[in-house]
Amino acid sequence: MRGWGAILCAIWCIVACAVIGVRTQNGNAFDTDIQSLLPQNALEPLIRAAIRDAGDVASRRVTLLVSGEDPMRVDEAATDLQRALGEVGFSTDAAGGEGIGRWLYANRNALMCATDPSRFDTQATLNQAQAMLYNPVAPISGDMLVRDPFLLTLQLSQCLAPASGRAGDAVLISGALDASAFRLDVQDKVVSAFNAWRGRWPDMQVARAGAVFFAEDGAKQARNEIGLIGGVSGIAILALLFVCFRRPQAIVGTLAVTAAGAAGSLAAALLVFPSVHVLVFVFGSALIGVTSDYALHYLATGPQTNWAPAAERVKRVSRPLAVCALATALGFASLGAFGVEIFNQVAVFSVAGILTAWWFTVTLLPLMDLRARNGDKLRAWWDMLEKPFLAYRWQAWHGAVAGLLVLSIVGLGVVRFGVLDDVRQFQPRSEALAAEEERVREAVGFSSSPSFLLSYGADAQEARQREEAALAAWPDAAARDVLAVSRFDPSAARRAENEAVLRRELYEPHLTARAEELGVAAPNPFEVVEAPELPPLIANLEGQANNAHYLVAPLGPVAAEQGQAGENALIVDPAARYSQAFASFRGLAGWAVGAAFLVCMLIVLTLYRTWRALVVLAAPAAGVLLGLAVPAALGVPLSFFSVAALFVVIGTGIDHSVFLFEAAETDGQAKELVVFLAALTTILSMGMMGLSGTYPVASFGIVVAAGVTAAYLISFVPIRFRGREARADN
Amino acid sequence: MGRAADLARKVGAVLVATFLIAAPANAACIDPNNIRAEYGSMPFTQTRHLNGITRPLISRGQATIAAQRVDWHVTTPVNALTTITPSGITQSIDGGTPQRVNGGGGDALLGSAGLFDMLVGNFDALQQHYTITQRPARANGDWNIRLTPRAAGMARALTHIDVAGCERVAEVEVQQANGDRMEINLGPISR
Repeated sequence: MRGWGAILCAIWCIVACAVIGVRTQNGNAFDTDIQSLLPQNALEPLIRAAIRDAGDVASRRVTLLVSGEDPMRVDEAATDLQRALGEVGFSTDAAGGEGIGRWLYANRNALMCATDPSRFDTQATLNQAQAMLYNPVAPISGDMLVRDPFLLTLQLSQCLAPASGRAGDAVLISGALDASAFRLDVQDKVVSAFNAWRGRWPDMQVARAGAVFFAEDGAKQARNEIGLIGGVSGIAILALLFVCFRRPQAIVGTLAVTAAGAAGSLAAALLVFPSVHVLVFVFGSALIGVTSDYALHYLATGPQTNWAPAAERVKRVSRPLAVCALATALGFASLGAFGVEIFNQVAVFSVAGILTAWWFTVTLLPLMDLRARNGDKLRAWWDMLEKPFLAYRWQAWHGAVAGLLVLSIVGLGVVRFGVLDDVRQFQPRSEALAAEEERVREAVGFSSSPSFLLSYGADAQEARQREEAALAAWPDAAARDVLAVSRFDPSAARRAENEAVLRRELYEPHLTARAEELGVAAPNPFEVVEAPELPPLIANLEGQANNAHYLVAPLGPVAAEQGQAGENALIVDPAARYSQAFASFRGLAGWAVGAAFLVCMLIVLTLYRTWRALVVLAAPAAGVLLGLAVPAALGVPLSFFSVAALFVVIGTGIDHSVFLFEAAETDGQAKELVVFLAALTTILSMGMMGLSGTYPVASFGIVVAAGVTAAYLISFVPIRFRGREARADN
Repeated sequence: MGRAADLARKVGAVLVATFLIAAPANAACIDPNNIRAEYGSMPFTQTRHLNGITRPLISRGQATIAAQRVDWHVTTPVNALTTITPSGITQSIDGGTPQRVNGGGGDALLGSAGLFDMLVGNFDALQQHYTITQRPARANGDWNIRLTPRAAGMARALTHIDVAGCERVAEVEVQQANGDRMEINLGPISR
């Protein structure tokens, strides 16, 4: 039976490697979007879709400001940069500007600079038309004056189209990427092209603004963290293995188990999700500490039994390993209950990794750890290492000191307790990139807020009417500080209204005089032309969700200050919405921790069929208490991620108790050394996550490290107080 | 390179750059290769001849050239001040608040290769974007230089620019591909 299990496990490992090999050929396999951290089901579908669209449009924007001593070189460098970025999917606004120009010309008699037709200023329009006529840089032509004698197209381009061109001493390059800025392959291509350009133009100064640069920087940081956490964990584990087992099979076996766990976890995540967030690997790197425990528990049976037959060794660990794997897997699986995409991924990643590692441990690992030639020597060495643990006696004053320490930590934690739900403080931003972004803002006078106006209705017409009504109610300065679909493509009713006003107040009273002044024999301002497609810059701002049509209008800082939007229109601040969502999820997660305890209680009672087994829950309970208190005492605020980490504390914290309980109740083999090793590897790998620069990862890691440490220490207490009972093999 | 020196170079080039390749046209006129940058104010008359428009659009005013800045102040028939700097173009009507003017959607006279790059002087730019040829001197002895766009895209909109003068640029004529034409006559400079 175990033979078939070994074959199937080997097949799964091979399949997992193949899946990883195939999927990672696709640049879409990994994701770095911070929005993936957010609890999606906390928001209404319409708002969620709008936030997604607004975020997608905003995240693709890229603005660069190239400057230098020699203006000629600046022009050449800017042209070269534009070309280089164009090769990796970047389109400049200048290219899009022609499309907007064609759109404005075709719709010039249905659009207005004023946000409400009642605010149309005839005299200002006439003055502007006259000034443009004699402006030496106005791109006018005779043909244009015949069809657009008041130069409405040019006037609309001034008030509606985004700015471009030179800025200060620099050349401004602005545009959008043709793919998500959060795709690793897109980031790599864009940043590689940019860096290559920097190499060609070392004397140029450049300032960058755009999510792609921040995302690439964040991904780089995540990669470094993965390397650091995984590397230190791996080295620590290898050192411990070498000291304790003193044979290469133990090291190879442990590496094989952790590698199999890693392959199984990644393959499952790639099979279930279209793309996996890179932070999953940071969370998931903690699995090294968990899965290596399984190998340690099996390998320890070697010196403990003087390398008894594999079947006997497996039998000794099969039940506690199964309980541990099940409890830990359920702990991680609970993360999937929150509707946070990244936690869904962590849940799948971790459960698959744990089960694969467990499977490998009980099937393939026994084939790798054969009887040692110097078994007696190694057993003596093991016993010597374990001796101090067994010699330790729990004294009453130890309990008093421990109790005092716990009370002090809890007391300090209560005093310094704080929470953090503001997503704006979650992701560390590169100071250098932030400074560059600020230079871009200063140079071009550009400033946008993350907020947007969301207008919706049963269809496109109604949505436009809602947006028009919202903008009409705002002061001019605010209404013009918006990139709104309805300004470019109004509702049918507004189009008719605009045209009527233009006919009544501009063309009817002034066209004849204008034609005479210009010498235009047959002005034809209402010639029908084929309408071009709505430019992508505008078309991307509308969508459908939940049987509603919606428009997303990015707001500038002036517009963002407007508190009211009107019926079926609201100002959405995504960060504030998600912060509220995290706060509510933090509360819900607290209740879920209690539910997880209940599940563990049922599993323990079902498997051991004795009330005494409930003592194994004492350690994870203490882990939860100190997992919350220690970070608070250290001044680390509590967040949704801290509470989520408690599920891991419960899952892994129960392991130690289970093995010690099993030892006390059944086989009688001392487990002190192997439990210590298991706890130490787990604590090392998890604690390293606390060093992450990303708050969610750091808070998760600190809670897990503190909680698991406490759970390990407390796991001895029930047994010490109760004393060892008769053992099955004595 | 210092900014002041750069600005001086830029301002001078109108007028300089065009002629570096040209041989001296007339002994009475200055060698275009030796034209020096001049800042100051000068009257202008701008005449636009547009296809389909029977009357030429004539405007008059005062152009002021300073370091990295040209103020093109039309006083007749409207009062409109267009200010061109490296940071962009603004327009003020009747002394009102200057409003930013967006780029002209591919017009050949805007941007780095445009008319006003020439006025503020950027020899390198002119050589890069135009083929510069000397034409026969005018009857009054003024030299006459033609700038022909190098890039096909620009050539689709702009046929050529003729620049003429004696001690400095006095006339600029822009011939667009659609037949539209613009002439600028510059008066004596005053500082």
